[in-house]
Amino acid sequence: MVRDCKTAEEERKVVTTECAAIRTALKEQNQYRAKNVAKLIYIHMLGYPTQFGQMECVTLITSSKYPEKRIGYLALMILLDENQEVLPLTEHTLKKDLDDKNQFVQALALTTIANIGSVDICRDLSSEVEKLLITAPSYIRKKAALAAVRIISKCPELIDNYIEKMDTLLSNEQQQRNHAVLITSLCLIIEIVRAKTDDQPTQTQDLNNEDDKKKYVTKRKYVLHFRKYIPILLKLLRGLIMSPYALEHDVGGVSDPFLQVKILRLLRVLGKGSTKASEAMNDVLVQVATNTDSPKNAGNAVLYECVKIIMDIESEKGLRVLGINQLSKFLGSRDHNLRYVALQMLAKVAHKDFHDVNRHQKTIIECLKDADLSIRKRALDLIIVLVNQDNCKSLVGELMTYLQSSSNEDSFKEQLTTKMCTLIETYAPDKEWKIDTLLKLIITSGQYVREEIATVFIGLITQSKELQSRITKKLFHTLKKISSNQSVILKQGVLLQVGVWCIGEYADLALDGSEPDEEPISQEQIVDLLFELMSNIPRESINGKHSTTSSDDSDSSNSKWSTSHDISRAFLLMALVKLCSHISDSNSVERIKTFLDQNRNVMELEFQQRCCEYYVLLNDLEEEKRRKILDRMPPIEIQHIVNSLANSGNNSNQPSSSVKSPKSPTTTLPIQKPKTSLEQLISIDEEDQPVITAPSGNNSMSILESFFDSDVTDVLPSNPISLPVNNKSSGNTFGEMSLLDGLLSPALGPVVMPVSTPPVSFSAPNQNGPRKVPLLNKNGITIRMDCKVLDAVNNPQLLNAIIYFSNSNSYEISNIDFMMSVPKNYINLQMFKSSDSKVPANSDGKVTQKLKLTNLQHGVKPISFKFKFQYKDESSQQIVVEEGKIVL
Amino acid sequence: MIRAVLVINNHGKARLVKFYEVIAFEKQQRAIAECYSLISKRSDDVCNFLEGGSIWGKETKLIYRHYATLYFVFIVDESESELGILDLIQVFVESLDKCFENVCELDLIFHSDKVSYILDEIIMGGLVLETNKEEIMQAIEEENKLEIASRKESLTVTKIKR
Repeated sequence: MVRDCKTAEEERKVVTTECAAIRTALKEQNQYRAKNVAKLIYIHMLGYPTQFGQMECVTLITSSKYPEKRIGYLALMILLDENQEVLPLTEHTLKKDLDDKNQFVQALALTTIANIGSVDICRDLSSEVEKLLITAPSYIRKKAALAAVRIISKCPELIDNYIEKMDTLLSNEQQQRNHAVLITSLCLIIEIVRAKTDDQPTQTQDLNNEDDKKKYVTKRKYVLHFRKYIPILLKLLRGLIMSPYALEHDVGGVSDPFLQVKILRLLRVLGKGSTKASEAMNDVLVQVATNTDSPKNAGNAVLYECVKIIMDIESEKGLRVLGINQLSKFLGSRDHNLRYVALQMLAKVAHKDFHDVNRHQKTIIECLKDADLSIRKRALDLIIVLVNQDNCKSLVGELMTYLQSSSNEDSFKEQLTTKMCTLIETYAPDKEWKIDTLLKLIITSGQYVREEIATVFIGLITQSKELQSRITKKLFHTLKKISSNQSVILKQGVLLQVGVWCIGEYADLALDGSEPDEEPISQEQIVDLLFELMSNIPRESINGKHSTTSSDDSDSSNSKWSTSHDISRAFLLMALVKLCSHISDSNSVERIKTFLDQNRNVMELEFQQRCCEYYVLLNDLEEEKRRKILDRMPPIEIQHIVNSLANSGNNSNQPSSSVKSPKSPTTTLPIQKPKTSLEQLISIDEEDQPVITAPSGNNSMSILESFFDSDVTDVLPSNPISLPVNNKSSGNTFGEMSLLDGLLSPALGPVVMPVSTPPVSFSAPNQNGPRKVPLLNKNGITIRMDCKVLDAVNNPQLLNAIIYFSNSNSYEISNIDFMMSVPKNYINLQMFKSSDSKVPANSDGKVTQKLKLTNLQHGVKPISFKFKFQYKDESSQQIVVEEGKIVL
Repeated sequence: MIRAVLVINNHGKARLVKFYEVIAFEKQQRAIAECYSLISKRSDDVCNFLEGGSIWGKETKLIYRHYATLYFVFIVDESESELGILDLIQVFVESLDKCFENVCELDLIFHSDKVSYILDEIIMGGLVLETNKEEIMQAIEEENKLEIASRKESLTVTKIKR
């Protein structure tokens, strides 16, 4: 068995030759079988397939010679697992060996059951194991106990057989002499008590389900059963702490820490949720905590387990304080392992003992500077739990300092940045601080910031008029510093987008109020900057079409980068166009127009399209209309993005757009079967809504859309400008912006697209009263929807609506059925029953139906829905169906 | 539950591989490689715990000790005490040491079967079986005696046949 190969190639050769030799050898029955199988084990460990040897293992274990049997079993456990086809062949041998006179042969069989026993083997051999559990010598009993653990985890129905055995063990001191038997038996009890925990009915399951109830009861039954042994366990534990020095179980000056830890662990399971049981443990736990004192790991292991149980069961306040103090001792220790477990534990209890934990804030922040990544991660987790509104400024400040100073560890920084964003969002004491801090974060580590943050940031700025000028100036200067350095720009996608957006929107504000100590910014400088940035961002290759659906972005970083470059260029182009209405310098305006003109025939379809459209917009449109189109954005609602950020904050590796992935709608109308997200994209397309495109890509783009959607449609005439564009280009990066073509081309003018009803129009929303939306007026049947946002401040996404059915005919209509369907990816619909199934003759709004609409993309996309109204005309006895489509 | 025990040398070569749950063969190899890449980067003066990485998930921890040329890695779920496992690794290594008298990497290569036997006396089915070194040694010695005895027997049998 010499393996002194220098290269992997050489090794592979040797192994292949050897495998061939073994294969031949296995066919001839000779005395080297054991040796050959031993070689196979080694080859397996090196990572080469060894399936052909499985049969040989099965043969070897039947051998009457102990060495062959021994290596056979060993190979069996290594080369096979419980799912292998040949495993059932071993059952007979296992059974025979369990009854063998030699305890070492019995041990081999037990080990095999414990390691790879399948359900069948476990069930069939359980009775043999049960026998061994009580009568055999301790060497076998400990192994039988662990084999039993495997058996009950595979066949829970056998649990009851083992309970009695454990009763015998716990009530008989003779049986408790051997520590290993105790440890393994405690394992078995823990497994019994825990066995049903996994099946405990969760909230989502139907609680009425008889089966679940039964399981729940059984689980409680086992806990209750073993609770009566708490005094015995406590006595054992006390015996261990108080026992005089016993060499055989001593580890680092502590009497069998393994057993102590096991007992504590069982007590934890038993004490959880029971005040009485917890009370009983109180004194002994104090004893453990105070009497265990060791500079070595073993003592600390016991202390750590002791703290764990204190925190987990219903301990008294005093005991918990003792526990936290112990943890703080760990925290101050020089041992890295202790610091690690202390941080981990503190994070778990922080929500319950906030103030006690918070007292150690300083030490915890120190841990953030630790050289060890594992400890830093733990410290970060803990700090996140500790942040609240009062200490947000200081703690986030600490994190920021750390972020700026730390060396480059990308994955950790990414996590940190994402978590910081969430913290800033959630706990910021005031808006100004929030914006400033976010900006600082974007500037410091823009490459780690997720794209949603750009949207949130932009949204915040639109909401805070007083800061717009200052922030824009700051962004201008920051961008100017990096504008010539291509590699930096390409990394700082989010900073670039945010900066360019603000310059496009608020350039005029930045020009105005220059403060004395700043050098004023000129219009030319701004335009120069944008052009410089534009020239420094590489173009997408002509063939490089990227799907913007969520999954693709994460597939290759390449595609992600190039997509984000495209978005950056789109931002730049938009900003340039917007600048034209903010600046007075005619040279600059001309320069922009020339740029657009030049790019009207660039070999990049979407970019070219945009240039064409913007060119037309700037040159051919009337001054007033243009001004209105290019006007400043209204404040943007960002709550839903913030929410989704907070939800996904833990998982920083998710592709950015998955945050917006469709949530399962709570629609009460079972019209459509659930669709995959791809289908949903298509279904939106089918609805012929040019303004609402796929829910993918960058949010701010969608914001632009909705801006145009609300403002432009009633301004723009159906201007017959034909552009060589494809409306369904939403698969492309720029596709999300392709609304202008929809608006400028004659066919797709109005936003409301009736299917069978005439165009519906309605007045602007009234802030106070409900907004009345007519849905249908045909054949004397009128349907009106009154909708109202109940809480515009906290929950602007939720729209409550009442539908009124009126009938001006002289006959009644019956069997009315009003159905609605919404784009499921961003609207949740909850519909209640109508007040009546008939609408009487000459009635006005007597029959009503209530519904709730939640727009998850509030402020980004409007609520839209299709409806279908079906009724029976009592005069003609015919079923009539009316349909329509509404965009609010 | 101990989910796996790995012994890897300083160059990433596996010297002992034991999985206590069903894991596809290819995934086992990936787990070894990932484990090595995570641990080998760490200096000796940092803590001995690591989060599981992509194969094992967040709740699982890699707990390791580094002895001379070998990393002893125990992969455990959240029900095990981190500090307790560190002691267990110590027990395992001390047992090896007693068995081979100053154990070194070569012992693990040439007696990989014996190493597995020792491990089987300490851990079974992912749970701790025995932590008392004396007991472990006694069991191993008796098993070895039995093996030698039975070998001699078979030798004499073949001699007689001749």
